[in-house]
Amino acid sequence: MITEGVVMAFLGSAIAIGLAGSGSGIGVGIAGMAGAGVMTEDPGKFGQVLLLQALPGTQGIYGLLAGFWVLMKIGIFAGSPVALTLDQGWQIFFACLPIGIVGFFSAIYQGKASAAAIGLIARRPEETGKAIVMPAMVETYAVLSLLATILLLNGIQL
Amino acid sequence: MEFTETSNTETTYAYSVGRIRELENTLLNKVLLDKMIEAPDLVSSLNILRERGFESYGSEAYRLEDWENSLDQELLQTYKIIKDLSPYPFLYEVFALNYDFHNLKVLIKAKYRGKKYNTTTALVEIGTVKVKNLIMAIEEEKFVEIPVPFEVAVKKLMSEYNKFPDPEIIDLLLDKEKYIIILSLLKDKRAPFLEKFIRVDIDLNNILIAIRTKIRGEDKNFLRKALIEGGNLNLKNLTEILDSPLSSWNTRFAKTDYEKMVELGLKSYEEFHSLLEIERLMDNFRLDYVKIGKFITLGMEPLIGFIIAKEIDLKNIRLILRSKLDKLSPTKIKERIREAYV
Repeated sequence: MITEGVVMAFLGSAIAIGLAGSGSGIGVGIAGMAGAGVMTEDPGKFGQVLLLQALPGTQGIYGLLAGFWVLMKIGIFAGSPVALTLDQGWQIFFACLPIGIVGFFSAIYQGKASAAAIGLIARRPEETGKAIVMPAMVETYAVLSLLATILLLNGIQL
Repeated sequence: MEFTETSNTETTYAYSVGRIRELENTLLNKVLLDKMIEAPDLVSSLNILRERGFESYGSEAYRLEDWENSLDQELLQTYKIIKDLSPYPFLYEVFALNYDFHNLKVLIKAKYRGKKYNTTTALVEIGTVKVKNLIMAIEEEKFVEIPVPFEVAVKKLMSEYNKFPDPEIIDLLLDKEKYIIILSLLKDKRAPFLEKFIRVDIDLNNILIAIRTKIRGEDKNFLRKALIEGGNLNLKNLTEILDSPLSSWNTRFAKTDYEKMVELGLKSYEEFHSLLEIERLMDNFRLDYVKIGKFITLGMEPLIGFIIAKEIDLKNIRLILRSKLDKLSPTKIKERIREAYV
């Protein structure tokens, strides 16, 4: 039965997937533009550029994971959603916020850091390892927010 | 060097900056410049330059017989790339205007010497207006194919030149008009760094104009007419210092960014009676100002940095190769060389 609680849970799931995914789209776009610039002059750097461009894409995956977690938890895939109370719905909604918000912003900033790192490999291709570490540091906070979302979701009693 | 309010936030520049980072590999670093300087002769210097890899400017580049042409081609190619990668046309236009006005100066000087301009050897096909349109405007006085501000500038110059037929007037007045056009082009463009750079460039030009005026013994009226508006320096103060001896000028620039440069430049002038050193210091100042471009990822600064760096780079190459032709010692060449961007 679709209760108000289920609607709130859907909203939480949509925020996790939508915000984190949008952030990743923007981040990958920024890194992609910088990468295209480098490859215009040196197509041989495709491998390194692709790796750096992909980095901000992970937040979108984390958001999708959190969103699916919610849908599984409320039994959408089983075909019979749990009749959540409004309180339970709000709990799920708030549990989704960490990955939604942190995912959105961290993906954009990771995209910028990746663009800078792509500039670094354009100048010093031998420093690819170091170039990857810089934007990868941003990932830490996306992972932590995913962890927070999962822990919060697991703590909700249905 | 300073950050600007739009620094590192403008994602529209991501593609351009990525490309610029790769192009920066074609700039000469200090090690390579030193190697070229220390090379025993012109051929060895050219070999070092070719080894560096300028393939994108043609595999036949920098041969002994036509290295000067290669330098011209490289400049043309650089501006072609800048035009191609600039997200906004004004970025290219601000710098290309220098070449429009260079072409105008060449054509107007030729006209007043009574020469026809059949060949374009001294003209550069970089500007915002086609060279043939400029030729038509100056030789036949048909201004339909050139922008109105150009027409205004040329007519103003012609009327002034008829009153004071001094060839130097051509350079001074056209430079003034050029900066008026550049500053009007930058209005409402949200390009604070570029605008600040242009204002610094105007200051440097004004300092040089003031020094030259003093050396030539011209009066304050001449200087007042020649100084370019729009810079950071107060033009009234700059005119006033004409009365004091050159040796004391550095104190008049105290507490400005130009103090050290003026002091060293004038010291060198007093010793060698040449302005080459202050011109070199000014180029270094410009380069230092745009070096912020090396640290910005999302902004116009890297583009501006690259344009200035490339022009100075080509100047350095020309200087080294010509010095090699004249068999100047490495020490002498090093005294004249500009700093490297990378």
